Formats: sequence, structure tokens, C-alpha cells
Amino acid sequence: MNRFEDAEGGETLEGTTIAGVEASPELSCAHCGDPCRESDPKLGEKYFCCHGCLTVYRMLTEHKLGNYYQLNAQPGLSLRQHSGSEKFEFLDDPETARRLLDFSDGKLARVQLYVPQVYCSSCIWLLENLYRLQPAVLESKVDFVKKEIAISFREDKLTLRELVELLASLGYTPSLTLDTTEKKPDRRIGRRLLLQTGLAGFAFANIMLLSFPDYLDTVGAIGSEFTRFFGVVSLVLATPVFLYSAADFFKTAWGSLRRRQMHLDVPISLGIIALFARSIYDIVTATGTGFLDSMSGLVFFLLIGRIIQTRTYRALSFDRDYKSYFPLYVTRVSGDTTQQVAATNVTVGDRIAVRNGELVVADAILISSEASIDYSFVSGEAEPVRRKSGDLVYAGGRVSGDRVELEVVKDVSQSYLVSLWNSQQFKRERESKASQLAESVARYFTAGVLLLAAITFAAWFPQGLNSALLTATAVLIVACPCALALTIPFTYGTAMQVMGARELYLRNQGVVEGLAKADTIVFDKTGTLTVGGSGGVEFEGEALTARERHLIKSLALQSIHPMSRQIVEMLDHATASIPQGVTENPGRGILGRVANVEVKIGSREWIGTEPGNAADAAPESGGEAWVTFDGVIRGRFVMRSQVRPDVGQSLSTMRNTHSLWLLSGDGDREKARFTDYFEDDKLIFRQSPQQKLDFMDRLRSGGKRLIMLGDGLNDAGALAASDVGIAVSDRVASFTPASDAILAGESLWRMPAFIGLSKRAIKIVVAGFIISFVYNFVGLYFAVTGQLSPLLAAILMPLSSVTVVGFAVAATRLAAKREGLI
Amino acid sequence: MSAIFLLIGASLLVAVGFLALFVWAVRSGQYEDTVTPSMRMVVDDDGAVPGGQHGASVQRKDSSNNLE
Repeated sequence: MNRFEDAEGGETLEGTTIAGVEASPELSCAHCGDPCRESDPKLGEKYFCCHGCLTVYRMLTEHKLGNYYQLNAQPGLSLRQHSGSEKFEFLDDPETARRLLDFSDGKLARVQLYVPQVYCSSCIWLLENLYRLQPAVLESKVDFVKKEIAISFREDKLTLRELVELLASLGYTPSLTLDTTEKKPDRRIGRRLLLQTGLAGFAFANIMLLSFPDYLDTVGAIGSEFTRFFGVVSLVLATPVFLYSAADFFKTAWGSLRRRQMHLDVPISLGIIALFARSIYDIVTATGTGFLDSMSGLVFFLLIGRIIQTRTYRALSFDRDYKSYFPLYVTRVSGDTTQQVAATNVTVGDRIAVRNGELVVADAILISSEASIDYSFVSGEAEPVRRKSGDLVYAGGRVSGDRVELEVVKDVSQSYLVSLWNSQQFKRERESKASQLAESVARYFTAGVLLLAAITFAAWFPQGLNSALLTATAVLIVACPCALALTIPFTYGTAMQVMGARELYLRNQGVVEGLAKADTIVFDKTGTLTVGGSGGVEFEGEALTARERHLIKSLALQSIHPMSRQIVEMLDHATASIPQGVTENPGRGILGRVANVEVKIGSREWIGTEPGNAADAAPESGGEAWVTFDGVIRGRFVMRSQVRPDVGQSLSTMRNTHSLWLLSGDGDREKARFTDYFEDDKLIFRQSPQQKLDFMDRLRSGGKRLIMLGDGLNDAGALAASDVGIAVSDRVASFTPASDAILAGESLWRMPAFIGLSKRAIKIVVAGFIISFVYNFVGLYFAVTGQLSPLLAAILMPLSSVTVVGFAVAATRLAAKREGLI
Repeated sequence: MSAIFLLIGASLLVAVGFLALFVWAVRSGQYEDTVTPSMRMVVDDDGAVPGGQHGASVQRKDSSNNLE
């Protein structure tokens, strides 16, 4: 199983289960593959784990969509967990519906929904055949990477609520959060860039073809009427390139000039304008065919560079805040009735009901007697914590287990996390991380080129204004830093791609420079350096026999609790069978009969052990699960938070080059484990999110360049305050706070290699600059001496671009190989 | 020689046709999602998979690696 699969869907469990129940494959659910018992619902020869699955199966086969089951064996999502638990009354509210719909005219409507459960080709097929289940659906289209579905439907025949309920009944419950109703990013920007590039490429190729006769004609065999005709056609082709494709370069250049800054687009625009003006002059005066092929080619290459530069990870979001996770509506309880209200309208004193897997949206006091709250979303702690009646539950906690009732004590916007998030410091604008290297080069480069053009003009002026103008424009043309502008996107783009393959996903190319320049690295502890769980569960007690392993695994397979999953993972090689009479007591444990032995796995209170024995003391961190066979205690599984494998080694490496800090919200009981890697005074514990943020600010105002690695929303402020904030996550596609980069936890040990590659990338960029300067100097020699012909320009300019791009990609890949990343 | 004017005109016409196709393709959003169509095509309209389950099992893996 891998961490990309959203834990919200049932698939992680399902996969494990399929692997575990090989003993009796005939008793698995025909829809979702979960194990079944004889007593479970049956249709013909087929068994189902629950009525939800049976209903979906019947619905699909009745609408001749039974082929769904031939695409994948048991592709369905288990409905046992959430059948009928979702309520969507709030979608009947016209205001909500209006905000959700992309388009609506009373008859037709279009909506885009995020469906995290989409995980295979069967899902796509089923969701795109919705119109067969529900004739009012006109079209549904899935975007697999973003896990989004766009549906057009007849509003007069089907309400949004009915549509969402249909999806939910199939197991594809759309995730409706606070930011679902916010404005979606505009897709037209990406389209515009593509169109600009396509147009430039089209013009480049065609003008090149038209220019060939002229280039190859060394004896004047083609008549002047053809030269003129070719010139005019080229001009017609090139004008849209100048006006449309190159427009954004002019805009950036103009904008930076007005701010009295020097952007690389300034000399580029200068070059493009010089090329175009000179070509018009040549063609109109019939003195030549102009440089229009060079101009179109230049714009084409530059736009490709820009596409590379803006390429990013579509499936990842680097801008998440609490709104991406908080539900749109909550259930308010008043007396015996429940009512759905907008999450933002919940007020102090309201009673709210929160079901298994839902988030608490505001700080609240627990009314129900007990609850298990998972704060992984807030703090990165994997283990749910127990709360008793009267305890305060912070907003952002996820309830696991039974439905609980709470009384709200603070408004949503006043709740601890949200108020922290909305505070001014957290909102600080991310500085523009555009490449500083390019900017400083652009400044000197532009000045140099302008100076050289002026000198050339002056030197040629005695020969007449005309030839002085011609040579001066030739200088501007040939000095156009196209190759220079391509170096950075292709070098950093390649580095980004290599890092992405190793599960470090950068937000944009500027982050590469930030990584290279940092001198200080700050780590969060829990969830970043240590991980509760993965490989961390061990059995305390006499070693288990094969039969005992069988008993434990069979029962543990029936539970989705993280502890059970860890146990199953540990007992990887054990066999399993279907237990009888399984009862799960959420938050406490699970009970069942396997091979006539009553097996219990659960908490110490539930099992009923006598505390006091030193070996039985609750583990320092992480949870524990006791095991009894027929009421006799056998021992316990302990889940320890562990330093991620190989991270110690990397910390020792980085300690030589960077100053390392550990900044943790926890107490210092684990301090001893880190003194090998951090200096004593750089281990800082008991930090609140605000303190973390202030601490980062202090370091930064001391002139340090910071990389911060953290997870969870409690680190969000610190991540924002650093030069490069890296969100460490074990489920890259799901929970991450706003950051500059997202790193998979298991790749944390590669940090020295990532930083090494970034440093090498900067050197490669400098080398690329030197190569492009060499080309520029060769060209300038011809330009200054008045020998720059269109043919020479048409060869020199693409050649320099191709050389630089080839060098950048090859050298970066070589550097990545040296760092052990490929 | 004047045939060349005609030929160049004709060739440009064809080229412009392709440019128009490109513009249409971009406008209709074909470059925005390049992953899903590749998964969609292995499933026939009636939901049958040529070559049985093999193709489908490959796609299960897809879900983990395609973040772009």
C-alpha cells in the first residue's frame, strides 16, 4: 500500500484485506472485495459485505453497467463505513448551490466536484457513465490527476443535492469544504501561453521555409519579385507573433522599467523590437528579406522556456489553509432535532454533532462521555488522543469512532487555529521568489548592450546615419539574451523534475535557489524527524507462535484503526481467516472468535490489565494495544515514534555545512535521542505555533537563510516565515499546509542530496550564462563590423539556444547522478 | 514561375488549417488533462477491457505516481 491513496476512502484497508484473506476468496464482497460472512446479504451466488454494496451492485447491473466488475476485480468502494451517514440537506439552500455551481441558467447547470476516492480506470468509467444511471446527467468528465469530476446536468430535473447523493450512494462522496465555494483558478492563462507558443512555432517554421530560397541563392537566380513576395508573406506571418506571442515580454519589461528594476525581459524586448523594426525596414525598402525567421524562432524558444518555467504539479496544492479541510456545513442539535447550518454561522453555545471522520470546526467542550480525537491534521501526531466529557476539543481535530456531541465555546473565526491562521503574520505575502541570479545578470547585461550599441552607432556615424542605425540595431539583435533566458528554466526545470521523481515537489523554480543558498535548517520533531508508526510497532512479551500470529492478524484485519493496520503490516507473512462475531468498540478495541479462540485486541482499560508493573507502564509516545486469548493476557503491541530510517546519517552530513535546529512543540523527554545530531542549545522544546513563528523571525533578522521542515498546521506559520518552507508528509497528495515544497517523509534522508543538487544547479546556470555570452560575443563581432546577415542570425540564434538547452539538461542530469538522485 | 505563387498560397492555406486545428484543440481543453484520456481509451464504450484485467491493473499503479 502506498501513502498516496487517500485514507478517507476505504481502499487502503481493502487492499490489505484482499491480500490477507486468500484462504477463503469465495467469501469476499462482490462489489468492494471486503471479507464477508455467511450471514451477510446475498444476491444469487454473490455475497456482499453490506446492504450499501448490494444496492450499488444491483443498480449497476440493472442499468447494464455490470462491466464495471470486469474492469477490475471488486473495484467498488466499501460502503460499510459510510453508507447513509452523509447528509446533504444544505445543498438545497439556493445560496450554497449557487456558489457551488460553475454555471446555471435554470435549466442546465455545470458543477465541478473533488472526489478523492477516484483511484482506478473503473472509477473513471463508472463516473463518466453516470448518464446511464441518471438521465438528467448530460455529461460527466473525470480529471484523474486532480480527482475532479465535472458534471453537466438538467437542473429542472435533478437538484444538486440529488446529484451529490447519487455520487455518495456509489461510494464517491464529493469532498465539500469551505474553499470549494471560493473562486477556482483561471485556466485561460495556461491556454494563452500554449496558443502564443503554437502561433510562434507556426510562423517560425513557415518563415524559415520561405527564407530558404533566399539563403541558398548565392548567384541571384531568383528574381526580385520573389524576394519581395517572400518578404511580404513573412511579414504577414510574423506580425501576429510580434503583437500576440511576444506581448507578455513587452508587458513584463514595461512593468519592471516603471518600477525602476531591470528584468531579463527588458533586453529581450529590446532585441525583439529591434528585429521587427529592422525587418520591416529591410522589406519595405527592398534591401533584404529581414530577420523575421530569427525573431519568430527567438519568441518560440523563449515561450517554450516559459512553459517549462510554469510547469508545476497539478495534483498538489501549495496554497492550502484550514479552509481546504473544514466542512461547509455542520450538524446543529437543538433538543431532539438536528439541522444543518453553514460552518461559518456556528455560534457560541451551539450544540453540534460530529460523526466519525469529520472535523470539529470550532473550539468546543465535549458533551458525550468519551471521544477519540485525531489531531494529525493540526499537529502531525498520528495517534488519536482520548477526551472525556467536559474536555476542550480544539478546532481541527478529527473525530474517530462514535458520533459525539459538543458545545461550541468559540466562534469558528475565534478558534485557536483559525485565529492564528488569520493573524497578520501568517498571512504575510510570500516574497516573489523569482530568480535573483537572473535579475542581477540582467542589470549589467542590459547596460552593457546599450552602451555597446551606442558606441557602435557613434563609430559608424561618419559613414552616414543609415549604416550607423543598421549596425546599431544589429548589435541589439544579436545581443538579445535568448540563450541566457533559457538557461534558468531548463536547468532548474530539470532539477525540479529529478527531485520530483524522488518525491520532493517544489512549488516553483525559484525554490531551487532558496535551497542552495540556505545556511540554516530548522526541523520540527514529531511527524517530521520522527514518525509514529511506520515500522515502529513491536510486540512485547514472549515471541508469538505461528498460530497466535494467525489469530491476531485475522482479527486485526477487521479494523481500520491505525494500530490494527500496523499490526497487520508487522504480521506480513502470517496467514489469516475470517473471524466470527466481530465487534469493534471504537477507540477501545476489537473482539472476535478465530478458530474457536476468543481474541481481544485493545486498550489497557478495556482489556482490564493491572497497571503498576514497570514493564507495563504506558509507552512514552505512541499507543499500545493489548492482546488476550480467551481472556488470558498474552502481551502488548507498542507503537513507538521512531526517527525515520537513515535520517540520522543525513543530519550528521548536513551538520558539517549548515547549522541545524530542532524546534518542537512537545516536551523534552525525547531530547536525548537528538543530542547526537544537534548542538545542545539548538534543541528547543515546548514551542507554540506562535513561538515557532517568532523564533524563525529572529533567526531570519539575524541574517540567516532558512529552510524549515515541518508538518501539520501548527508549523504553518514557521513554514511561511522561512525562506524555503518544506511540508513533510506521509501522504503527499492529501494533508499539507501552505509551503514552498512538499516532501514525502520517506525521502527526508535525501535532503543533503537535494541541497547538493541545488548548489550544482546554480553553478550550471553560471556555466550556461558563460556559453551564451560566448555566442553573443561571436555575434557581436559580426554586428559591430557591420557583417551580420539574416542568414548568419538565422543560424547563430537557434544554435546558441539549442546548445544552452542541451548543456543545461545534460549537466543537470549528470549532477543529479553524482548526487545519487538518478 | 507564377505557379510558385499559387503553390505557396496553397501550402500556407494547409498550414493555417493545422494552426486552426491547434487553436481548437487548446480551446477545447485537450492540453489540460493528458492523463485521464490515456486511461479512458483502454475501456471500450460498453465497458469491456481488451486483454482482460491486465490493462486495468496497470492503472492502479498509475494513481500513485502521476502528480503532474
